[in-house]
Amino acid sequence: MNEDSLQDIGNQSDEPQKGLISKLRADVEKIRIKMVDSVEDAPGPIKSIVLAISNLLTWIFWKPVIWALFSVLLAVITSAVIMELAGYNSYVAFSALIIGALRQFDRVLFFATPLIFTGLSVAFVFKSGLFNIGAEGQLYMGSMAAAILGYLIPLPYGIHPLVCLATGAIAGALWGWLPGLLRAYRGAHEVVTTMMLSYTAILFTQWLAAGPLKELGEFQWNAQTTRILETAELPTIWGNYLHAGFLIAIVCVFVVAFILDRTVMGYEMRAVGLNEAAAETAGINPKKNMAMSLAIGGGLAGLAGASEVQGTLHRFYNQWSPGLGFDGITVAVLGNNNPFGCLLAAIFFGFLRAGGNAMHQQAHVPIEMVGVMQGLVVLFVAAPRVIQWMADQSLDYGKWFSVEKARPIQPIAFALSMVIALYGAYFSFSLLGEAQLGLMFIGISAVTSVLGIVAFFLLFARNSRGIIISLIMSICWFALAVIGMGAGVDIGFMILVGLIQSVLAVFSLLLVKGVGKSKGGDA
Amino acid sequence: MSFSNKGMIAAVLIVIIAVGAVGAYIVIYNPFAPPPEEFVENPYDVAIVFATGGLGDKSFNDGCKQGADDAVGDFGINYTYVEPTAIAEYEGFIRSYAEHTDYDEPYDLIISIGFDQADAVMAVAEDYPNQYMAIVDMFIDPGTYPNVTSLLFNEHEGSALVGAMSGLMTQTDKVGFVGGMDIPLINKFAAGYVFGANYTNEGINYTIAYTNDWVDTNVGQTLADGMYAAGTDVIFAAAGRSGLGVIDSAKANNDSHAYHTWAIGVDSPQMYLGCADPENPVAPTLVMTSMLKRVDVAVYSVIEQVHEGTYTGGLMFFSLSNGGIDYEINEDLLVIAPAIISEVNDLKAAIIAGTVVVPDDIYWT
Amino acid sequence: MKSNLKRFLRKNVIMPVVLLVVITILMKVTYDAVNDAERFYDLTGWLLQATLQSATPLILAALGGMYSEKSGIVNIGLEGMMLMGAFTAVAATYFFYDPWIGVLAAVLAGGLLGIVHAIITVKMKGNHIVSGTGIILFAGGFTTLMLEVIWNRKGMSEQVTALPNVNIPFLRDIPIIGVAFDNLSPIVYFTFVLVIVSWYVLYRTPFGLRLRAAGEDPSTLDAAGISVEKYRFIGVVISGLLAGLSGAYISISFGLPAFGKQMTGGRGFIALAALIFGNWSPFGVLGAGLFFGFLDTLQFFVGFVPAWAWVQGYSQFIQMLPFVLVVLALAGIRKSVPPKAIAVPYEKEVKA
Repeated sequence: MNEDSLQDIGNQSDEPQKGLISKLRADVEKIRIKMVDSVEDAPGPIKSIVLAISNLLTWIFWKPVIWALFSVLLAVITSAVIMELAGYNSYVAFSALIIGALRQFDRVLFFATPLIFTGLSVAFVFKSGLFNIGAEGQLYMGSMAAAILGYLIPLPYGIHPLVCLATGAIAGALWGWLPGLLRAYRGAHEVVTTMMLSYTAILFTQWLAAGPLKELGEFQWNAQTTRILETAELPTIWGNYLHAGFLIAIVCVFVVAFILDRTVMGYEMRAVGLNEAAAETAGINPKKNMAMSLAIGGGLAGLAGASEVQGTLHRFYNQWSPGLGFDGITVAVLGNNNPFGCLLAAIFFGFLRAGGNAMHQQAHVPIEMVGVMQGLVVLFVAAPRVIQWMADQSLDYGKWFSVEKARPIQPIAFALSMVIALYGAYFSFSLLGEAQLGLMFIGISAVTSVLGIVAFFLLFARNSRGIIISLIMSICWFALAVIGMGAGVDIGFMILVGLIQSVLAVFSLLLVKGVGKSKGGDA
Repeated sequence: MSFSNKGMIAAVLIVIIAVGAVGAYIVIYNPFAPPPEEFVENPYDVAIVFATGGLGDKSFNDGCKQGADDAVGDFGINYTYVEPTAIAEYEGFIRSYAEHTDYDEPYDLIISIGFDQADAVMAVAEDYPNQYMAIVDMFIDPGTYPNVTSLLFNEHEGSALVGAMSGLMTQTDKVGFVGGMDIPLINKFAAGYVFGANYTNEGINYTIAYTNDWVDTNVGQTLADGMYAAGTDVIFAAAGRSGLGVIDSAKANNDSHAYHTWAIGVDSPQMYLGCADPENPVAPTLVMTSMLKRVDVAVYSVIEQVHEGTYTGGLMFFSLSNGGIDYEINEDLLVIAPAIISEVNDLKAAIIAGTVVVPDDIYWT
Repeated sequence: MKSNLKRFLRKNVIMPVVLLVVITILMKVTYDAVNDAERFYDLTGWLLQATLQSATPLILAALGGMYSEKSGIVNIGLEGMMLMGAFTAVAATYFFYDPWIGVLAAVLAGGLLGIVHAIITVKMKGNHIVSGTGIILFAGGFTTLMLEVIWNRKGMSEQVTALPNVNIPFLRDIPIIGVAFDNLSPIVYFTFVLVIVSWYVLYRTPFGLRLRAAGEDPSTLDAAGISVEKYRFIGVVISGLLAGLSGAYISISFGLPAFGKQMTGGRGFIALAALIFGNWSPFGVLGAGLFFGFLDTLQFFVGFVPAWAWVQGYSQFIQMLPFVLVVLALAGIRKSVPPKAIAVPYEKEVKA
């Protein structure tokens, strides 16, 4: 089991870095040391605050943050491109999203609440080297347990909600413990078992809600349980949406952080997560810890279900969750599996959700765009090396200018080719809508747009093969123009793009020939 | 892991404080709100909160939009709507409309679609007793909530009519019902259908099955394939999108069986879907009729009430007698023997007159 | 010797006997239910046909997953790739009026997502599960978005031309077999071919050997001077292609030839279960896929047998069976051996 690539970020902090960034880092480090030194003799509380702030300046802290921010940025750019291609105004859409979410911040936190729980669940389990992909099932079990206890047993105010929450957590924990035991003692891979048990839980609760626990009554038409008693409800604390579950979620963030960092159990779990064999040698029982970790993770997911039932739904509806458990994975991933990171990531996704409606109403972009953005964020976060690679390449590219100070023609030619390739990719992609021109036209457009993206990255990596591809692309443009002739498409523009691209490509090719083979850097 | 936790805590605290400060600022000063004017007019008269399935279900969401669009044309009103993606969002949306924060003028009417909004509607109706509201497909006690109109449909009556027709059309004396799920709302259709089939063809064989899925057309097709193979020749599908698979199955099986394989549509006119090319429907079709549940009529009439100031709240039943429930006849696509039509119409008249009472839940064991 | 006999019995006798008993019981019950020879033939034929039809997307996607997992890359993004394939098939058919182009486009679209997964997991050494999750989310959102962009409809697209079914003239008149195997989608027959081809490729060609080595023992492969990355990349892309085909089957070849929001309905995950239940081998996948497809059909079948109608109230438990069985299988009732180096990113050792 090695799924530590996410944790790389924390560990690889001391790798040697070169160039501008390292200089910047050195400067910041100097400031930090100065800060720490200056409060050497200061009184206790001030000292600890300054020390805490000084920690913010360390690379260990900043790297994951920058990494996450860049992923979000790339995802936003990509989704803007998708929106433009789909014919929406991305500027209007994003501003509607942001303003819409800010105006209803209670909605943002409301959406974030279950995500905090499920994100914590996935992140906590991840710390012990396991992957809880079945938070959804644990959530269903938790919500069902809370709903049953909520309507069956009358209890006084104050105690009832807590009892329900606890039951929900226990139900979720049991549902998480089972795959934990199977993983620890039978070696059954938890990714598979949690996923399968998650579907089992959804179907099982569906049966309960449609069968033995179905609410009775003449006009009761759906698979749902009886409404929970008023004593079991969590109060609304802000606006029309936000319920007290949010406060519990915040508490959970701190509790999880405390367990992980300040307790023996948390230490042991992290040790098992980093290296199971080494932990065992050190006298830690990895099996017990694995099962325990999945149980706690399941408990957190169960809490998510319980708090939703008690805070807003007030009963169990068949298949009520819109994939909250699954979203928990995205939250944990973006939050770098850190409890506080999860909190921020959950608020970010809550922000997207809350703003999505405003975006839909004002810019008429379907709400599913939020799902696309979420997926893109995850994809970009999944590949930490993409950002590393892009940073390295752009640094090297920048250096290229300074190396050939006297004759920066080549980098400029490359840069221009890059721009035209990227634009070509966009333009040819937008031609895909002209389906009436036949398969040939669409096929070549598709090829051209793929070539454009490939050429862009090759050129970005200063690989001379990019020029060749650029040249092929320009040929495609002429082919497109020939096919599109007389079909009412603006072929003049295609020819123009093709001409510029071919001239640039030939020009760069001549330059490269003069210098020799490409300057290395593989794509 | 050398994660410096103090740093993390401090960072998060700073972010929380910053976010909190920004949030407080926004809440108190509300810089994004339009500049305060004397009176902000509400451009909308009606607000609609759709069910989580969203538009495009060819059933109550689309029907409701149709009714609202008709009302726009006839009464010159405007409406706005939201499409919630989860049950948890309902109450917040309804409450925001009831509060009409952006405008000084309230909405004339808030329409909620679907039975799972009942809790949310009741909670808001209690807090805003002067706000007119309506809910489609659910009963809300008018004694406790006089400001809520419940729009209810006697689907069993319409189902009885299509059942009667299939009892007359069947060649194998076997009819089938495909439901989305074994819940009372769907069993209302089933009860009416079986009753109707028995009314015109006593002792007819029937099969009832559920897809347990509202969206997967493949499931509906598999199930219907089996029913047709077992000798059933008319299937009434009340299973949302997965019921459309039944129509497809009818088309696929018609050639390979000695008998005609018929399907019956639900909610909206679906006879055209039984044609070889539904986008350009020409006769013949294999959907012999559809049970029509006119959500558009219901929504239209409640908007009409509000528009004309005759809103009373309470229950509004849509049945055969007021045209809220009906069955589809489309002579362009399929001509059914007049004898059959007249017999079905006799049953219709009897139901309207009250001489025949259709059961609304499974009455057999 | 004795133990050999026991093993032989266990392997080759018990399962067929159990199957035979089950089938006999089913046939008896079916016959009692319809009480008519022709109906009996039709219904039994339907049971087989529906099993094949529901199994095909599972087998295809699971085969895809097998190529990926054999090479050492976990692919839980199958669901997303299928959805993308389903959508692209309908969109391409809509624009070009030819379902075969739709199938081709679906395969390519699945492959494209496969490339994305391969770049992230193989080239960038990203986390396999996270990348798969991202693909599922992206595909779910993207297809629904484009549904609205292209058709300006919500929920469900316009109907397009369906992939024509294959008619085998001499089969049609045979009872049971005729209903079961005639008039099926060409993709169903192709799936069986693909299973055999996959077995041959994996176990009888150098390519298959290297692909498996990339998943079992990458460092040896690397020592032999063969690029682990290349084979893993190819494995993941093949999985995308097959998942795309599976999606095309769901949308334009079975059921209504239209795209519906989230229409794959979790089949990608059941395919993953079939892959594990089938022990990561082509014929195992075939068996598991057929079995899960049969379970799918069984829950409807019980509705046609009056004596069993009460089971309908418990149909959720039949639906649960594939998932529960996989958990039980993994818990050790049956041995499942995943490729050894699965989910372990391979880092080339740095030569000094």
